[in-house]
Amino acid sequence: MDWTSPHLGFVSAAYGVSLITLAAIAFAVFLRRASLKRHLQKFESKQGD
Amino acid sequence: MIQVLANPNRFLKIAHAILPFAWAATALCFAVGLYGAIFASPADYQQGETVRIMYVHVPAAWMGLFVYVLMAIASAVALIFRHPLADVAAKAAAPLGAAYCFLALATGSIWGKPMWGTWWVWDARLTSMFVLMLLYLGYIAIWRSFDDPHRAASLARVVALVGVINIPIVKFSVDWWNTLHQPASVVKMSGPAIDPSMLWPLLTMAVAYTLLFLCLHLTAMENEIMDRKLRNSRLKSIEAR
Repeated sequence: MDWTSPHLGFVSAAYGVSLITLAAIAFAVFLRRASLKRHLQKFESKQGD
Repeated sequence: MIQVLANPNRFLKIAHAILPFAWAATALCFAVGLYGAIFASPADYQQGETVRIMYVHVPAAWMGLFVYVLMAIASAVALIFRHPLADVAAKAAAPLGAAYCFLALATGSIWGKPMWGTWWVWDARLTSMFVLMLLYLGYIAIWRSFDDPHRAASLARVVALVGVINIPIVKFSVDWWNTLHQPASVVKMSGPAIDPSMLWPLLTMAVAYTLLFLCLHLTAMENEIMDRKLRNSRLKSIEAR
């Protein structure tokens, strides 16, 4: 890798966009999982009362 | 095998057993793939360092196509066999496929500016990929537009099955039309036309993207099963009042 390349900005942008997009979609999946688990537990504990 | 996975609890048990290994393999493949892409592979004699964008662009484009085919197969299975998890699999795959498709378009555009001198051209490959993105968004919108999941599923299956016609158009657009986008250099009848020093990081990144999809898809399917369980439990409790 030539760190002085004039196209380094484009390469960095492509890797940055990839990282952010994949991290965002993974975060969204796990956030939804946590939310659903919380709702399910809340509902089940309510049913138990 | 399909019948074995028809039971959501059995499916979840299998998914939980697979996921730790799949996450470990994903991390390993990304580490090796990124090392190969950034440090080990050479610069291209024409493209220079911008060739490194290929290692994130091409696997994303492959996954964009692969996930849509998977959705179409799952929709066909749901339609023909009434498999209880087929719709779940298709619905859970859609946002992941849309993300990969977006990545293919975005990284392709970033590559296009220094190489073609423009961010975007309406050539056959780029346009058909953009149509694929719209199909993903339409599919997701259908699931969100209906309160009744059965009605949403019926329409979503049709969109997934009709939309799959776009996949060969994307793949062969570079052969059928005169495009600015270069023709296939890896998946072709005469074998890859790419040097092994560039091929191995590309294939490793493709495996990493596929494993990441597997991990996220299994987790998203688990979410969907939980969501359905919660919805059914709420409906039952309302009916019982």
